[in-house]
Amino acid sequence: MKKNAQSIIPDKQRLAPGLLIAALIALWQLVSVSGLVPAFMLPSPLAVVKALRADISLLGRDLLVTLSEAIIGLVLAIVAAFIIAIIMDSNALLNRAVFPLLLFTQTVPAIAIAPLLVLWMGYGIAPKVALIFLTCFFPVTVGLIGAFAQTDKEAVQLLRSMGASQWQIYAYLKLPGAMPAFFAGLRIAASYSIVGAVIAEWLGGNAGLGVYMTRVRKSYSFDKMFAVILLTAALSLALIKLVVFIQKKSLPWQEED
Amino acid sequence: MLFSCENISKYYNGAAVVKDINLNLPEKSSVSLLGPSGTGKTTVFNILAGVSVPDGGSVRLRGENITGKAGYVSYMPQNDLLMPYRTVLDNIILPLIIGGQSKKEAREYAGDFLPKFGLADCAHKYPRQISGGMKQRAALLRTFFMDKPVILLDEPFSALDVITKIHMHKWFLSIAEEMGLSTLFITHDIDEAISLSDFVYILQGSPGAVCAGFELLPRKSREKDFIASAPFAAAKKEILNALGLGA
Repeated sequence: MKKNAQSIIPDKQRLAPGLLIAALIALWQLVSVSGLVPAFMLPSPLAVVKALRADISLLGRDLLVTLSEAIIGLVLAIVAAFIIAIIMDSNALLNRAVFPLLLFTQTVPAIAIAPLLVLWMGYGIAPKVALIFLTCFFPVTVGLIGAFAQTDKEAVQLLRSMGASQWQIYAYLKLPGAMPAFFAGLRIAASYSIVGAVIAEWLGGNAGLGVYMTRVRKSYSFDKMFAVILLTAALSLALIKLVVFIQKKSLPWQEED
Repeated sequence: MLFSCENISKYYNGAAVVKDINLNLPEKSSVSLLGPSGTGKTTVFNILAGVSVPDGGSVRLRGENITGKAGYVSYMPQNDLLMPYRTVLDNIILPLIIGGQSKKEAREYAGDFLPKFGLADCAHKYPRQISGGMKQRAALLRTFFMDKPVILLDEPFSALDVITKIHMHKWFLSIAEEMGLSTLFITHDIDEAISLSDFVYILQGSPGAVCAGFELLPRKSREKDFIASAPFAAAKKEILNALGLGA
């Protein structure tokens, strides 16, 4: 189906985003070279690429640190999301009691609680993982709870008539049915995770893209600043792509669109 | 009597939806409950399936009172309820798996039934990849694997076109004969009711009530093109009269 849909889209349209980005980069290069903006404030794209290459080994190490924090936080968030969602789904009273609290955790801005977490947990990996956990578990939990609630009641009745236990109803009906919603939540969580890691790293630590960012900002190395921003964005994008890839591989039944 | 209900009534918000429904399904017979939309057919179906509790009356299986108890009869709701994330074969074996069989065992057992149900080529496809007729047959096979003495089917073929439906009727009659099924159909299709049943109950009015019952020509003594025969036309005429649609 996907092949058909894609072949209908003319090549022109598929090239469009790439062309626009190329044009914007060209414009940026032009503005920096022309001297309209001082080079130290807006380094040219070429200078950014140079900075990226010069610091690549250092950035590579920082990237791995940030990525591992993000992955640990995400995995913990996913585990917690499944447990919380199943508990809330199987108990209506608990659902009512806990949901406002869940919502509250999301209204507190990450940037505001990050310093507290650092004070409580120190400069190691713990406050980073904790912040990522707090920002990531919500979209996954809400996705799962919503999907569980939308489970076809007739299907539940049918499974019960087949003699299914509560556990079997989750295993054969609710959990597999919730997978598309789970992955939708996970895509959002994946993008939050890198941002969360960087914010936590700003406040202290020995390594990570956020630490690098703070260091180069203090030395007014704008080219390096841009380089690390690009790298952070690329990392988020790569993580989202990875989630999409896993989704496609693990849900072969889904209609491609 | 294998399966029956006595004086079933159900109310919603104080108003009766169905009133004093009496039905009998003898062993190895095929019985239809025929009626237009809005007469409470699905309400009756849910009560017979044990997933809804009536406000009055009882449902009996071989004399035992099973009113409001699920799990005593095999049933197939109007919506096929095939799970989009399971292959056709894995959908079909769900009752076996829930019953405690291993996946391998269940797949092997069900595999023998696939050709008879015309599903041999699509066992490993997903529901969205197969036709409406195939979905119905898959849902039917899953229903048979629930392995209860009675099968309840709520408009199992209503989503199909007329020609496919006639194919399915012929196929179903041969399967029912071979497997010795006792089936209760819910339908709004007069031709379907006559084709598939030994006995037809007519549900009419609001609240829905059984207004008539017709004994049909036994399935064994029917000619091959029964749906174009005189006894078929005669039965249809009687039913139309009972529905107030006669000349």
